[in-house]
Amino acid sequence: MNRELIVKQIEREVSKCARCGACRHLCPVYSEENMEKTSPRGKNSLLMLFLKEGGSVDEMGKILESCTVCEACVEGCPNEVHTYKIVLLGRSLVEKSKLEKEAYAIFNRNSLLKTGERVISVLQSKLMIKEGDLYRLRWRIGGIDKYLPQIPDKDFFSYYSELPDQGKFEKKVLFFTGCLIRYLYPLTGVHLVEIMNHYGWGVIAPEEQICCGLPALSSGFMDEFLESMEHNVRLFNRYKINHIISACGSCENTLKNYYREFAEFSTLSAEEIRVFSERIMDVSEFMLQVIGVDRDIFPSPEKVTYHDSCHLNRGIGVREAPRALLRNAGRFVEMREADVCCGFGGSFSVKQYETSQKILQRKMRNVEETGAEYLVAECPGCILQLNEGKEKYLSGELKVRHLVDYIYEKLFLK
Amino acid sequence: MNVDFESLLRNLRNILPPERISTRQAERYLYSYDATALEFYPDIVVFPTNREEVVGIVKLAGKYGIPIVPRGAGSGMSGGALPVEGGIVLSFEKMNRIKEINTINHYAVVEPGVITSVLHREVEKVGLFYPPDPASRNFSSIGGNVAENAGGLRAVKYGVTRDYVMALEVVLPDGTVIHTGSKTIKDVAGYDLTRLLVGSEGTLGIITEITLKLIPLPRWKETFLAQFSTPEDAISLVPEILSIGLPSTLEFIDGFSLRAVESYLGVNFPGTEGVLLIENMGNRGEVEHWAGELKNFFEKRNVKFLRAENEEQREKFWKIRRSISASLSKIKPNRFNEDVVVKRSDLKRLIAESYRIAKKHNILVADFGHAGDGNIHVNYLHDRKDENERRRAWRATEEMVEEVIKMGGTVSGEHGIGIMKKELLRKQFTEEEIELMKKIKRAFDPDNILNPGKIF
Ligand SMILES: Cc1cc2nc3c(=O)[nH]c(=O)nc-3n(C[C@H](O)[C@H](O)[C@H](O)COP(=O)(O)OP(=O)(O)OC[C@H]3O[C@@H](n4cnc5c(N)ncnc54)[C@H](O)[C@@H]3O)c2cc1C
Ligand code: SF4
Ligand code: SF4
Repeated sequence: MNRELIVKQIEREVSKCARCGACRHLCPVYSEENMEKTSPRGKNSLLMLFLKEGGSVDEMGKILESCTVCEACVEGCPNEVHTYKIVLLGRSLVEKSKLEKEAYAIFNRNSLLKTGERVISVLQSKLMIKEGDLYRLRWRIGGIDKYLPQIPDKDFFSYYSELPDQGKFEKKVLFFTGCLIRYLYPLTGVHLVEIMNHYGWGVIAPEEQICCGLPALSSGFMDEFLESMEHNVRLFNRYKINHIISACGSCENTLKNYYREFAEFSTLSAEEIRVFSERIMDVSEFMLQVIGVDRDIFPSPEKVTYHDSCHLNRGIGVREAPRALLRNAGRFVEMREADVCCGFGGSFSVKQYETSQKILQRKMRNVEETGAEYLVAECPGCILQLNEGKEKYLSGELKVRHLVDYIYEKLFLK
Repeated sequence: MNVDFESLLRNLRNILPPERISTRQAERYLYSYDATALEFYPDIVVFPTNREEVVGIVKLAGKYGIPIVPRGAGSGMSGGALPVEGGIVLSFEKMNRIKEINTINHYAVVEPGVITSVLHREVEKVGLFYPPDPASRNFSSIGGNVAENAGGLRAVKYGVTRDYVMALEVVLPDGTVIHTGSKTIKDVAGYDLTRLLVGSEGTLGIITEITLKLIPLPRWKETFLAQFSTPEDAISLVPEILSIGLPSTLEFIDGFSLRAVESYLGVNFPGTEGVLLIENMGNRGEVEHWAGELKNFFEKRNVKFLRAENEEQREKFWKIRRSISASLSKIKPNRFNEDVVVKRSDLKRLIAESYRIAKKHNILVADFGHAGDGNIHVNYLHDRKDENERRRAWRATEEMVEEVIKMGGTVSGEHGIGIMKKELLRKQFTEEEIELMKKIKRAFDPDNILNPGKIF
């Protein structure tokens, strides 16, 4: 990790800030906490202060925790200050505990999850209590009360090996699964493959792919992030296939934008990254624009609403395609503040548990107001968070679905 | 200043819980700046959530003789919220409840920390309307709007913040709580202290509750974008357009600003050196009638114009106006943003002078703003790091203000004096006039502990 280069990048970015304050109320964290230190302007000003005058790194770390990396602040900033980038770079300067370090090294190489998956699903049944469809931690640590879905005992690739040979299709796409689909929601991945196959597209998912690196990056592990990036770019560039599709907004944004934005820290050439990232395409746009599944969707009278994943919406710019699909599938209702963060933000949801929950509650209130029976989103991270929100804050019969699963139901299960 | 901080803090902790008192350097730094980007550290920052806490804090400040500076969102452009002499910054960020929206008597009662656009949204939900909409509405606080008497884009027809403040609850620098105004439409009892406090920039009293007048929500909108081949052509038409009937918005954009927006947004207006953005809202019949007359007016004079046919197009027109600031910062990072006001008949002279002065000092200038109010933002662009350029831009600004005063105009239409325009204020008023203002200040705040160092 090149510390000097990081500091320089931060300084360049922060110096663009005119301190106008336009970003304050766009920030989901500020909107709940109402203290300047949680506003984008506050966060980047503080980082500037620390770089200029030094100060307790612990304190800086604490302040930089209060960001979900939702990118909302960039959209409203007249000077295009990338506060989320300042935060990510800043986090990489903060000293990590040994435990955190080890956890990330393992997580990033997937080794723990790969071999230990079965063990985890057994452990889950011991450590967690089943509540509705979800599991809840049996012991609450520091007031933190998190829910997880049942961890499946098979990952995506176990299912994938049982699916028809994808090589036999003439038209092909590459599939970047991402960790959450791979380990937690493998059936979403399977549904994606089945939809594509139905329309004559083969889905090539290289098993050697690893985490996109966002969890590492957003926890300040720049080296581990770069390792992910270099591995994935080199791997996928070996395949001469036009599209790399993904069904995770956060992975997509990382692959398409963060790989480019952090390119100067890596050993990859700009050309290698360009060839990789320009092939990334969102599955909703693929379904709508390339294969036109909307023709075959059987419309149903149920009320459905959509939550924009921050990274898919602001990062990739996908807003319309999922809505267009949903308008075909059900009675689509727009919720208030659909594009406001759900409060997940990866480790943010644990490290800043209380704020994360406040943001989530606001989201669930907006969902409830629509009276929708289905809440659809297109990022498994959001799905995880929204399911928890439904369980904790709503009493009705709301169903939370990944867009791919929802469309799958409408195409095949009528 | 010889303040026993230890003892002051001990007493403060009896009023507020520790998480609402900041004394660490990093936290204080966050309250050292506002939109002027200048920095002055406070000694302590407190976050009250109700009037009693404010009273307690103010009494302590008086007892220890330490300045106290109220602060809203810190989006001020004149430095009003900067603790130039240190002391306690009283941040209203957490005192942000809307207490009542009265749909029968058409008023809202709010705490000062409410964000302007949040109030807009809430009252519009019940079919009411709070017209003042400063460009900073998405982040400025109502308390800050009242203290600066903020203007906005709809002021031509609807007026400014002052026109909507019915009553105030104010904590005076000695801790006394007073109420001014009333919830009635008419009220002439006693001196109009409400109007005195509106625009007082946090120097006379601390506002803890505001009653705002609301009106029924206008349901119809018409929007025009007119293009001219010189800025003078555009601005000279303003008085006549206003005679057709008052629009809610009448904004001017000069050629330089337009070029900046063109390259920023990737739009194209070849040959256009002046633009007027005109919008009217109200009931449908009235607004459509007005639109018809405006159309005839433009056609008779061969003015090239576009009329928004739908929301999307309207949004496009507005985007041009809203992108000016960002576009200009791409050309030069800094600007002295004057918000001078003249009579509408002097608008043409105003922009002509602004260009003449720019030329004289060899500096870039961009003119745009609320032409319907005679309020033009004259921006002398520069790079702060280039000391020579910065000085030339400042000289140009001063000369501009002198011209404005000659025309019988004012140095600030909406941003206030704060610390940025203290010298300019002296150009506008006589010594006697300023002395009278100082006497008023002393009547409210004899020990000068409330936001010292501002205005005069
Ligand atoms: C991009 C941008 C666009 C803007 N556009 C406009 C515009 O169109 N029209 C316009 O008028 N202004 C505009 N402004 C200026 C600014 O937003 C306004 O002056 C606004 O009213 C300030 O509100 P604030 O909450 O940020 O106040 P602050 O900056 O925090 O404070 C401003 C003043 O109010 C005082 N104050 C705050 N709260 C209280 C209180 N409760 N009691 C007593 N005094 C108090 C402070 O002491 C200070 O003197 C703009 C600013 C920016 C950055
Ligand atoms: S909107 Fe941009 S320039 Fe304004 S304070 Fe926020 S980061 Fe700074
Ligand atoms: S990325 Fe989102 S959470 Fe982080 S500072 Fe910006 S708006 Fe706030």
